[in-house]
Parts: sequence; structure tokens; C-alpha cells
Amino acid sequence: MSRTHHTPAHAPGDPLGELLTDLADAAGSARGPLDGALVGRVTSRVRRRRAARRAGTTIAAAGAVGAVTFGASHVGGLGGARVTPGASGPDATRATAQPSTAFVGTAEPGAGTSPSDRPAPWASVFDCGLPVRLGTPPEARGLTLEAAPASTVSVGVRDGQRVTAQVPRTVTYALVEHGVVVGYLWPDEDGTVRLEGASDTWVQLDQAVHLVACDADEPTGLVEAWPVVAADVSETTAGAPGQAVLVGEPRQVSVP
Amino acid sequence: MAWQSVLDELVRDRGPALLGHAYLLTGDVRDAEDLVQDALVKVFSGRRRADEVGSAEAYVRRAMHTIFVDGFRRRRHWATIRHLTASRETSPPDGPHAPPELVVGNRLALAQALATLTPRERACVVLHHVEDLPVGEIAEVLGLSTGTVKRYLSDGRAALRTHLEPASDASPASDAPPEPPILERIAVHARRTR
Repeated sequence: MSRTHHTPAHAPGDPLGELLTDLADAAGSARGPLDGALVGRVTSRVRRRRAARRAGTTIAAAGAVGAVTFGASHVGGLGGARVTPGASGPDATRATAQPSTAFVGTAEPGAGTSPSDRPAPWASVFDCGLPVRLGTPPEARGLTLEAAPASTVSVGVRDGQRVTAQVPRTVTYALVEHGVVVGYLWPDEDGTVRLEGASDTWVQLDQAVHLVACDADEPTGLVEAWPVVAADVSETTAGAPGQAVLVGEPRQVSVP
Repeated sequence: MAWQSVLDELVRDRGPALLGHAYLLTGDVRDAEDLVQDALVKVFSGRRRADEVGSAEAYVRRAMHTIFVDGFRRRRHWATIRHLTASRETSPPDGPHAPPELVVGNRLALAQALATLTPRERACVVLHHVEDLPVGEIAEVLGLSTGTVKRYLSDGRAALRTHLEPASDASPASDAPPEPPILERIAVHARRTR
């Protein structure tokens, strides 16, 4: 099917085709020209899919979503668990205690804060088809990520630290089944927000996301989801400036 | 031409046509917008080059059909899902976001009749009667056998005919001249399936 569609394609003398075309024309023209916002959304999603592909994924499907329901409970068997800085392998996620949050990694500065075609900065932790790899040094550059049991995810400044950073407006989730990454929930929109301050300075991240599956067998139903954020830290009292990759406590999401 | 330029031009020049075509499949303008967006993303993030508006539009239309048939309903935006989980009795077949121009006469009757078809029946009817694709090509696009496509076409047209019959008996609500009965205009059996 390679022809263009600048004129109706229905066969001459096909009344049903004529009526359907009339209906389509009415529906299309009633809304007027599609606005630039749609182009922006599409461009953003395309760039993310390309970036995800460069990160080693073989994306077979990606759909709009927001359709994800965030469960009120944590991933079964993980209640109260958190990521252990410095540990490695998926089992490390089952390790420790309260509170939720934080772990970290480093990446090239700026790699995660713009909708570029660069690989996601956290690809070395959550890579399609591979086990979760949490082996990065415990360096969060003074930031912490707090994932509430329901749906709220916030990035804030750790106790006793002072930080200035650019933080994405929306969190990304890595979808994990049996310890292996099966997809992502990518933000629908770009944008960062400036976080500046000391303890108790928080930025809540929105959750407009879309599903990017690692293969044609898309994850559905209840799936373990790890919130992950890459922030560009320009000033911090906890180590050197640079990029911090923060991974939060996993929770269940319901993918329709 | 860079893909961003093709995308800009495609949306600007052909957006309404794509939206209208998507409406034939979804029966709701908001769903149609979601479908168009998903199809654009699929095409422009795929490995196949869409470096010219004409071919890009063809790819997008094809993507709309496959996305719609393969699971658009399952992956749609949450707000849209909430709307669509409403029962048919509480949600008009053309949805709450139908263009006002549609809520009249034969267009409304046709939109309501289309809403009674299954997604695959709709896709087959639209591909055959709007895109003018032969059965073999529809089968290729939708990943179905030709026999299955023929069955969907037959069932779809029969359902359209059944649901449009009451429209031909409806009395006009005003003094305006009555529109021709839609069933007579459609003559759903007048065209042979190739």
C-alpha cells in the first residue's frame, strides 16, 4: 500500500464508500487542523523510542498509556524493602529496610534530561531483556527519591545536604518480571524542573507515561515497576556535581 | 527530508484526513486522535524510512489499521479507557466527543451503525470501501486469511444494513425536506467483493 491518499480512494459508484468518506471528512474537518501540540507529543515519544532502541531494546510495541493503574500495595514480598546501594543483582533489591528510596549511579552529564536520541542514563541498570543490575557506587549527590505506596513519586534533598539540580518532571518506570526488564513506562512529555534547597525540599513528579515493551509480548496485568529518575546536579554538598540516577522502591502497576 | 519535517507537514496538511479516517475506525473523535498519535509514533520511530509525506501518510494509515485491530483499545489513554468502559447504553455509539456536524441525519445513522461492528469488521469495511483495497491486500494488512476477510466484510455489511433499516423509516423531526433513506443510498449489496 504505497499510494498517497490526497484524494478519496473509494471506487466510483460505491455508495457506501462515498458515505463513509463523507463521514470521515466531516469528522476530520470538524476538529480543524491538528495543532502543534500533537506534533510535539509525537516527536517526544518518537525520540524516546529511538533512545530506548539505542539503549539496547528491541521495541515491538509502544502505546499511549496513562492507562497504567498504580497499585496501592508494594510488590508482593518486598514490603518495606529498598534498594541497597552497592549491592548487585536482582536479589539485592530484596535486601534492606526503611525508608524507601535512593540509590544511584553516574552517567554522562546531561544524558538524561533532554529528549535526545542518546541512550537513557539508567540503561546500565535497567536494560531490556536483562536482569536488573544494581551495582553502582552509593552516590546520590545529595538527592533522594521517595516513592509512596500508591502513585506519588518525589525527588528531594537528603537530610543534611544542600543541592541544586534539574529534575525531570515525570518519573520513568522500568517494568520487571522475574527479575528481568520487560519494558518501560516512559514519560509522555519532556521538561525538567529546578530543585534547589536543603532537606525537606521536594519535587513531585507527574505520571503521564506510555508503555514501551521490550518485545512483542507486551507486559499486561500486574507488573513490578521500578521508578527511576536521572537528575543533573549542578551544586551539591554531597560529593561532586554530575548526574545522579535514582531508583526507587518497586511497586505493582496494572498495565491494561 | 528529515523525519521531523515530514511529520510537521503530514500533520499540518493531512491531519484532518487522518483524523477522519481514524474516526471511521474508532467512532469517537478523542479516540481517533489517540489512534492517529499512536500511528504517527509507530511510523516515525520505526526502522522504515518515511522521508516523504505521501508515503508517510500511507504508512500511518496502515499503522492505524493494525494498531486498531491489534489492541488499540487495550493500550489507550486512561481517560479514554474510562470513557470506553461505559456501557453502550450510557455512551452513545459515536461517543460524547462526536463533532456536532455528525449528530444529524444520515451521518449519525451511519456512525451508529458502524459502532455496532466489531473492530475487525469495521477495519475490513473501511479498508474495502474507503481505501478501495481488494480482499487479498486487506488480509495482508490485517494479518488475516482472505476467507476471514470475506466473512468480516459480509458480516459487517449485513450488520450495517440491519442497523440502518430503521433509519429509512424514521420521520423527519422538522419541516425540512427529508433526506433520502440511507439504506437506499448505501445499497450494501450492490458492490461485489473482489
